[in-house]
Amino acid sequence: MSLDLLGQLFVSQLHLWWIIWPGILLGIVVGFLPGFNAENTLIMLLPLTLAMPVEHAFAFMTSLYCATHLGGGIPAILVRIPGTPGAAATTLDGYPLTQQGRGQFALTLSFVASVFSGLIACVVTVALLPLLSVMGLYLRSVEMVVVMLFGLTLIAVIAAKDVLKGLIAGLFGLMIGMIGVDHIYNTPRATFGFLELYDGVPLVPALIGLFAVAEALMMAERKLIVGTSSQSRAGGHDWGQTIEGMRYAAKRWWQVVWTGLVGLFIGIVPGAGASIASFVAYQQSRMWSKEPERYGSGHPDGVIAAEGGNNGVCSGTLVPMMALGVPGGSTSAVMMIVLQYHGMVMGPQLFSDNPQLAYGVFVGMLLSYLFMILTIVPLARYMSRIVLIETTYLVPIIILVTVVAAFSERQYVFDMGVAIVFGVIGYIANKTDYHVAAILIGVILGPIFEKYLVRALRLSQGDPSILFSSTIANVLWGLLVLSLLFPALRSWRRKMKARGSRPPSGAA
Amino acid sequence: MSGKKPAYGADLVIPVLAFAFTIYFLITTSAMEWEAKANGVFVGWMLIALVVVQVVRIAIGYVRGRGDFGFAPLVQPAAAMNKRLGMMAITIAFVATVPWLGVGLGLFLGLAAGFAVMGVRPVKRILVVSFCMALVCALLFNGVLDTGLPSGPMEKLIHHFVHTMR
Repeated sequence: MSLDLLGQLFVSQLHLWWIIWPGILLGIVVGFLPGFNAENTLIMLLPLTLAMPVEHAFAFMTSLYCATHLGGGIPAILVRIPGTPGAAATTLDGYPLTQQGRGQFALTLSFVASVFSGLIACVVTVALLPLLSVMGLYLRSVEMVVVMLFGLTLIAVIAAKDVLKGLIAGLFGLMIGMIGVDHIYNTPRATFGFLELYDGVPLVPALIGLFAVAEALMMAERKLIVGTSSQSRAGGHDWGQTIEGMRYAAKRWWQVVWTGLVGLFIGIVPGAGASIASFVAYQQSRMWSKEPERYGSGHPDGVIAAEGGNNGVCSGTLVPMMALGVPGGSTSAVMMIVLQYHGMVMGPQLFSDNPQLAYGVFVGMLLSYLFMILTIVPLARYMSRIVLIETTYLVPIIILVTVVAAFSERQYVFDMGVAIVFGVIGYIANKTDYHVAAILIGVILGPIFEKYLVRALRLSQGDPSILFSSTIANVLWGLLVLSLLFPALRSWRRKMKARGSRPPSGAA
Repeated sequence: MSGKKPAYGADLVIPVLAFAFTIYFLITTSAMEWEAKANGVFVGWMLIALVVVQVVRIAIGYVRGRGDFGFAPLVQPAAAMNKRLGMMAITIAFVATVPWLGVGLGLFLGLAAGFAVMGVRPVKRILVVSFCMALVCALLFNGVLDTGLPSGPMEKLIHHFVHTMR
């Protein structure tokens, strides 16, 4: 694509600011609310987007979609309620930062990481689109099994403090994730006789229960979310933490870049999504960090990694749709309906027949990120003050409103009950140090892992050696082993170094 | 829990739940094709093994007098526990009655009861905050986002009012 065309597209998309901005605002609200996502909002807005010219419709849909990913991180950081499943990993370090009175800092980090990882993923997509479009074809079930394992190893990482408890929690989550019909014969498994569980445990109610309801029950014994010593810092009226967050994110630009790229590559694979990307990015960030022990207790790099992975996915999911005509996720499937309604034929032809639209989508996305950072960063200071509301108000509001939100995804009252059950499990897990995030990783990644594993094993008629049958899979296996061994090797080297520098016993 | 004796009773709740669910899963899938149960059998047996290790670890700790079989971490502090139980009862009542009360009225009553249980006073403040929250949620969930939440008297009244205005 020529620079001239890029310039033209940028100017033409800039004229659509009036439609990009409402998309961003609605997206942030939808992302903030657990139970709502870009997909169901875009479905509800189909009458509006179908009536618009296709360029307008796409500018609106992509800005809403990207903003949803960003908005999901806000409640994850402030009240430990991930607005979207992709923001679940953000709670791990975002919420501890809030409890330390650094909510404004964490929000700014999250916004800057989200926007710039999304921007970088967009630029890379525009530059390498033909190459990226075939990448999805090379990542099949065999390779995806290994990608899933990258995410699942986070269970072991989370379990670092008490390995046994962490692993029990993670495997319990994996077992819960297997509820529902199997992927081959559609036979219901462990559904307790409930028809509502045939599709598996609904993710949003489980998420709401494990995080929102459980955390609200924990809050009941405190006056405020923040500790007494952190109140003055949390209630600061200045921009100090916003500036600190922007500076920190700028200093850690490489972290933003690579986690965004992890999100992009995972997003390209049809069926893989933001939750996988954010957990994989977080796990890798911790593995390679010089201070892995700080992760989970409010390490800023943890927030950057989770949000970077979460937002890098946005461009990735559009690649297979635009280049191959295969939607990369449910949201891009809704977008495809709009394109097809306007008579657009997806696939490689789109880039030769209508480059303005094909590349315009990504340029529009790039612009919406730029608008987003201008809109959202100044608000971090005000949003962070939510933690100063007394828990006597927050607890009933969080429990009842999120239980209502649990209904929204599938419109079953049953799902509200699921949220309550998971709330009780989450509360017990929190109180007894069985990590809820480990349970959630199992619930989210378990069914997807099983799907790819069974698919691969069926292809080989049950022979597990198929998992080592492709070059890409073998490279991924190597990377997985390396990333697991690296922290152990590093800590061994550190110990040896410390032993070497220690004076011999008996020396003064 | 640092500084206090571990409460092994509380520590056993999640392993017992996990164990019971795994056994249920393994029994109910025993007659299925291998594709339907392979993953469950693999993960399930690993989980059972880990639960056994945890039980042994707890038993050793108990024999050596390091902890007791209490549930203190789950039920203390007592004042907060009363609030938690109250909130859970209100939430269950809300879910049970929302199909008839509708989301607006159900949320108003649920929030008002919740604020009262949590210790918000005076009553006027409880009513005002509950009403405002319920109205905002009803408008957002049913009006703007059209989520199909159950309608009750409040929604019918708003609907009737809007129609009359038209």
